Order: sequence, then structure tokens, then C-alpha cells
Amino acid sequence: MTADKPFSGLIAQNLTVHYGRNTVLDDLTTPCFPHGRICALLGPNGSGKSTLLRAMSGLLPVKGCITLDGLQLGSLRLPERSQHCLYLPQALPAPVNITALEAMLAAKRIMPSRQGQSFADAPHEEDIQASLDLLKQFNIAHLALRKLNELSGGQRQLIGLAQALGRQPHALLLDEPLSALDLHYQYAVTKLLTQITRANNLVTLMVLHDLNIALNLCDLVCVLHEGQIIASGPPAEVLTPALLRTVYRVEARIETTDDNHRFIVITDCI
Amino acid sequence: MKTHKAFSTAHRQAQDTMPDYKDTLPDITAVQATYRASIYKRLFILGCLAAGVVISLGANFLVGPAHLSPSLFLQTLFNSVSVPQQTAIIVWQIRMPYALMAACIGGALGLAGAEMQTVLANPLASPFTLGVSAAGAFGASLAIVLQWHIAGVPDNWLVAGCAFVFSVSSVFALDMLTRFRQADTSTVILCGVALVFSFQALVALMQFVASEDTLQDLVFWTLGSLSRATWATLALLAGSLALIFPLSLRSAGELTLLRMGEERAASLGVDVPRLRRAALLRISFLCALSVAFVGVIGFVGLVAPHIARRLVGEDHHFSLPGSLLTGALILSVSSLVARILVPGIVVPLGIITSLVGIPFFLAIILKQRPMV
Ligand SMILES: Nc1ncnc2c1ncn2[C@@H]1O[C@H](COP(=O)(O)OP(=O)(O)OP(=O)(O)O)[C@@H](O)[C@H]1O
Ligand SMILES: [Mg+2]
Repeated sequence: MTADKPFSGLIAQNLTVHYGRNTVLDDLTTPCFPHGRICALLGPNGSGKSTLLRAMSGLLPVKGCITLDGLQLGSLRLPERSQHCLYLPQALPAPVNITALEAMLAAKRIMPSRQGQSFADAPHEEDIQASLDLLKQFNIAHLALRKLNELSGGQRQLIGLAQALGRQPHALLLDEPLSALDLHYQYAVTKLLTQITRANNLVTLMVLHDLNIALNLCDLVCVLHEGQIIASGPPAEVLTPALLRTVYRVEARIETTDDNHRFIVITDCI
Repeated sequence: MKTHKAFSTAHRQAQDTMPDYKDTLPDITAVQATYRASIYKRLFILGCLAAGVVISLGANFLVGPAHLSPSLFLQTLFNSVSVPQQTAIIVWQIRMPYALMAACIGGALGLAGAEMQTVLANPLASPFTLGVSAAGAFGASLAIVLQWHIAGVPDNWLVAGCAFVFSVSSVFALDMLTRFRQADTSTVILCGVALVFSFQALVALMQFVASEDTLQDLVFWTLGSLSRATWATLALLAGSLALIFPLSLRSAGELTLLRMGEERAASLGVDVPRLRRAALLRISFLCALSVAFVGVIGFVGLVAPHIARRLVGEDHHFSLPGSLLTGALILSVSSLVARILVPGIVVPLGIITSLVGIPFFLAIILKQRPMV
């Protein structure tokens, strides 16, 4: 990695995005999302979280400057850009008649670095092995040969996540990767993502609605409110009752257990 | 009290049968073997479809008012001077172009339908949803009714050329519109439906003003018929199909990902607008050629992809060839039925394909699982 650059990590500067005439993000500059840390992007519905991630991954036309380790992502074409910085959409993978393993292999096979390989060359044994290993890490190896249209929403979400991780990008932008998951998987997946982020020195930014996970399992949080970033930093410093009142319109207090876990108690909603 | 007790026992039972969360990795070689086997199974199904096409082609060559034995047919094929001239003409000028054209048109429409359903993300999309064929029929009817002539160009080629130009421009008009307005796929379909109705109205208008003898020609375009298939048109269509099919197959991986959702495909690095434009270009070319040569033939483009997806799944490396072969098979069988249904008369193919297609179609939509 390029440690000697002015900054190392993912950053968006002076970002302006509009849908038609509706300006959603106006001259937004994000903090630098560093390597090896898991960052949570928080904010109420419609605050522009998905828009920000889509803009950073090149799925929306934007004004502004997005850099990963000093590399201008805006100058890359979409296929190359997705090898650096990969976005995981908020919508679940569609229930189609394709097996989980095939879905993962298909995502790997269209990488620009694989161009020129015919379908007959692929899939290599290593590709299958790597895909299965990932599925195993997610505890869903038994779904490898099941078709997506026979899986539950949460199972499909896990496959989609594995599909994105299988591409091995440098930066991962995950849009509500836990939205359809049960209690066990919400924690298991967050911990697994933390582990992978640390091991591979990834930039990981994920949109969350569960503040307790952000508070306990994430290294940094960044709060988006009405198209502006109003706070960012370590979760314990950022998530205060005052912030929860302005951003989420709830009365809350933050408690700490004896074994140093924090949790948010909502007492009322304004 | 009672409910409380029931709750607590239920919970204990749940704990007893709690699954072991340690996932056992399925044996890698076993998974590979299963995966391989599934590929071979799909290749086998494609092989069966291809065999079906060959058999129905054979039946098309042999069956007809003039009875031909297989040996006489083969003799005509390889040594046509040794058979009566009449037999040679029946085989070479009538049966072979007719049968091969049926298979090629079916393949072209099946392939076009498969790509169209994927890029428009709509199971009801078909070459006809976008008004491609209606536009073609209108172009042809203009040339027929207004009796255009260009010196040195045979009239039937002029009519076909006119149909082609109108079909292709209808797709481009639609593409321009959607790019200009940044329309989503459902808007494309709705605009296509609007085009279908406008062109059908225009064709009806042309029929209304047409004279007796040109009306006969118009019916050919609106009902579809293979009777004008010649070696020249066949070569043009088969050549285009042979050129376009590999291009489609090259995009198969990207099309497969597109099935999982447009945004997901884009996020994995598929340039969706480019992919969609290239596919529309291929589709419009294939549809325009088939409309130009055989008129409006409905339903194949709609049902063939559905049947193929049921048979070989949605990996486009298999479903694209599957749709092509299924389309070829359906149209080949339909053309056989069209000739033997009423002895001595060739029923217009468009009628037969719809009649043959409807049972298939009903079977599919009634079997379809509820979608989320
Ligand atoms: N395709 C679109 N066209 C027009 N406006 C849009 C579009 N997508 C989003 N918006 C608008 O942009 C704003 C931000 O939307 P965005 O999807 O980024 O919110 P979000 O923070 O991801 O919300 P959620 O938590 O509900 O996912 C919203 O006000 C929404 O109305
Ligand atoms: Mg969102």
C-alpha cells in the first residue's frame, strides 16, 4: 500500500450529486476513511447514505474528487474502478435461477484482469476453492449449490456479500449489509468483516441502522444528516444523546455495562 | 399460566434441536464434481435440443404433398442430376429453404427475445413488445401500397429493405428517447407498447387504402409466412446469426450478472448502459432481418427464452444457446404443422406459432413460483 502518500485511504472532496433537479449532496467533503478500520456510515432514512456510496463507487455522475490512496477514481472506467472500490447495493440479490457458487464465479469472471479468458478456461479450481472458503467463513458453505430463487432473503444477502468480498477490492462500500440478517449473523458478519478488513488492510465503510453495533463493533462512525456530515470519529465520542436528539429525533441515554459494553436506551421519541 | 408453560417447553425443545453452527465445509472435490456434472447436464440438454432441431428439419424436408423417401432425399441432396428434375426442384428450391429458414428465424427470434428479457428486466419483453416487428410491417406495407420502385432493385428486396429500415429505426428512436430522458426499463416497455399500437393502426390504415391485389401482399407481412424464403435471404439471415451469436455469447457473463439486479451488476463493474445498447443493437438487427424476410411472427421470441431458462437455468452461457435452439425447434415444428394441418394449403406461420405457443406459455405462467 502507498503509505508515503499525503493520505492513505478513501476520501471524497467537494462532492455534489443531484437526481434531476433535486440536489442531494451539496459540496460534501468526507473525512478520510483509513485502511484496516471498519467505519460505519449512519444517518436517518433519506439522508443520502446510499447516494454517497453510489457516488464514491462511480455509479452516479458527480462533481467532485474521489481519491483512494492518492489515486483519482474519477479517471477510471467502471470495470477498473470496481476492482479498487466496490459498492454493495442496498437491494438484495434478485432470486434468480443461478446457484450461489455460479453467482460468485460470474462476479469474478467479469473482472477486467480476467478478460480474454473463455468460459471453457474458467472456472479454475482455485476460483471454486476461494469461493467455497469465503462461503465457509460466512457459515453458509452448505448453500453453495443451492439456487438463489430457493434461498431466503437473508441467505441471499449473505451470498451477495460473499460475492462482493470474492472480488477482493481495496475498498468496500457496503450499503446496509446487515439489513436482512438475524441477530447471530448481524454480529458474526460484522466481526468477520472486521477481521477481513484488518487482515487485508481494506477500507471498509458500511451503512448501519443498528447503533449498538456501530457503538460496540466499529472503529469509526460518520453521521450524515440532510446531506451533510455533522459528526465523525470514534463511536463513543460521536454518539451522544444530543446528537441522537438532532439526527434521529429520539430521547436516549447511553449506558455502559460492567464489562465495558455500551448500549443505547431510547426513552422517548420526539 | 397454561400458555406460559407451553412457551417454556417450546423454548427448551428449540434449545435441544439447536443446529450446530460450526459449518462443515462440503468436500471441495465433491462440490467440484457436482458443479461439473451440472455443466455436463446442461450441455446434454442443449445437445438434445439441437438433435430435436435436426430431426424436425428432417421431417420438414420429407413431409409434404409430394412424398419423398429418406433415400430419395439423400440422393437429391448429394447427386441431384440422378433424380427427376421435379424432385430436385422440390427439395432444393422449396423444402430446404423453407425448413432452414424456419429454424433460422426461430433461432434469431429466440436469441433476441432472451437478450431482450434480460436487458429490459421484464419477462414479457419480446421482439414484438418494442414494436420492432410492427414497425417492419408498416415499412413493408408502405413500400407495397405506394408501389415504390428503384431501378435495378427487385421489388421484394425493396420491400424487405424498407421493413428492415423501419424496424431498426424504431429501436433507435426508442433508444434515443430513453437515453435522452434517462428512462428506466419499464418506461422502455411502455414506449414499445405505444409503438406497437401506433404501427398496427398505421398498417390497418394501409390495408384500408390498399387495392385488392396489394392486400394479398400485405397479409403476408402481417401474418408471417416462410413461402418466400430463398437461398439468398436464408444466407443473409444465417450469416448474420452466425456473426451475432458469438457476440451475444461474449456478453453472457455480464448478462448473467444483470439478472441479479441492475445496480448489483453495475457495482460489480458491468457497464450496464453500454451492455444494454449493444444488446439492443443485436436484437434490432436480428428482428429487423426476420421481419423483413418472413413478416410478423409472434410468440417465439417470448416463450423460447422462458422454456430455455426452465431447462438450463439462467447462466447465459447456457440460456442464450438454449433460447436459440428452443426458438429454432418451436418454429421448425410449427412450420411442419403449418404445412400438414390443412392438406394442400400452407397456413400462415404466425397463426400456428401463436396456437402452438399458447399452451407452452400457459404452462409456464401457471407453474411460475410467486415472485417477491
Ligand atoms: N433515483 C432517485 N431519484 C430521485 N431522487 C432520489 C433517488 N434516489 C434517492 N433519491 C433522493 O435522495 C435522497 C437520499 O436518498 P438515499 O437513497 O441516498 O437515502 P439513504 O440515506 O440511503 O436512505 P435509507 O436509509 O432509507 O436507505 C432522498 O431524499 C431521496 O428522495
Ligand atoms: Mg440507502
